[in-house]
Amino acid sequence: MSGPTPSSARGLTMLELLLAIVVTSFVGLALSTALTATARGMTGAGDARSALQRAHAAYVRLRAYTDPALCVFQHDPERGFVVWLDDSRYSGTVNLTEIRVFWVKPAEGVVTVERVDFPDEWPEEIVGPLDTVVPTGSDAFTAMLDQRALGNTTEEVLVDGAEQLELIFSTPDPLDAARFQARLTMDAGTEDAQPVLMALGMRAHQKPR
Amino acid sequence: MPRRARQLRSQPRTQPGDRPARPALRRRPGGFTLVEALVAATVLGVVVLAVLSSVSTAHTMSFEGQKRVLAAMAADDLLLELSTLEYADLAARDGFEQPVGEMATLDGEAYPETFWSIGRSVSVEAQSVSEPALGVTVTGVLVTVTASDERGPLVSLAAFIPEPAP
Repeated sequence: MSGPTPSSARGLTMLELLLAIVVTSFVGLALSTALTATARGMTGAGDARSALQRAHAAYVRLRAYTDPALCVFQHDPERGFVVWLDDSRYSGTVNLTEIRVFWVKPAEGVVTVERVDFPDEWPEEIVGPLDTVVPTGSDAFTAMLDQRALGNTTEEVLVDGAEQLELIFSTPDPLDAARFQARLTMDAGTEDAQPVLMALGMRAHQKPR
Repeated sequence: MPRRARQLRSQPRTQPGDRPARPALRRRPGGFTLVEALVAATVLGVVVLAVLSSVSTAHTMSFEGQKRVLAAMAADDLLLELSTLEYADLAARDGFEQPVGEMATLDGEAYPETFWSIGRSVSVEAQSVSEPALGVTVTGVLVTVTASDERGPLVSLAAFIPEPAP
């Protein structure tokens, strides 16, 4: 005849089992919450860091154009801005091949740079007359679009993942400004957009004749 | 054949003089003792703490890296702005300082919150650069911009700006 089962051998009672499940659930929930929060934080920080790295890349690329530039030839908040990059014809005037048009396209999240790029095989006798002067006050954006329609331009993406690019000038006419600021807002995925301010300047600032 | 009989037949027979068979591994009926449970919980706790600690360290290092990128941009910005000033105005910028969180461009445009942890300072020193082989000496100023956080300098950039010819 067997006696009463010792408590160590009889397994868990329902109450003990429930208690164990509750405690395990609490611990699991706490761990899961902590790890989820940490993972979310890491993802958010990663997104923000990625946005800032793209902003820094944009800054470097933008400065590659603006540092040696002579002036900001035209600015249109809706379309972008035009930089007079150099006076390669030594005329003191702005010619088509000397400008770079920066198109701000918030809908696509990009800023592109476009230049007139006549075919290499064209001799100067052909290129010279086509490389017309863009008079101060004229619409350089339209001049570039005309050349694009003729297939004479090259356009490249300068900034990717940009929500907004706003230029700020301290002078009423951008032509007069040796310095200007670019307020760039980068899309940061799960995080809030990352705004960056870039101070840009043209050491060799010069206005067209 | 009944199952029990099959089991008995399949077992090896023992001969006199054989070593006694090892007793079957018995399960301890008592489950875990309190000490064992505590040790297990401690080990688990240490592992979880180590994981969380390394994640936290990675997070901190990532933030520091991000801050250095912003500091480099801020220092480079100011250096470029200073280089667009008239040469005669540069000396007056020696000692120029923008405390942490109060950065603005020379034209007064405030930096966004992204730069909240960074400040900048400027030093301008007269300097001459000589090239004896060419017999040339260029006078100018060495402009140094240092971007810092509350703990100290993060990035320091310098540029020599020559005095323009009269």
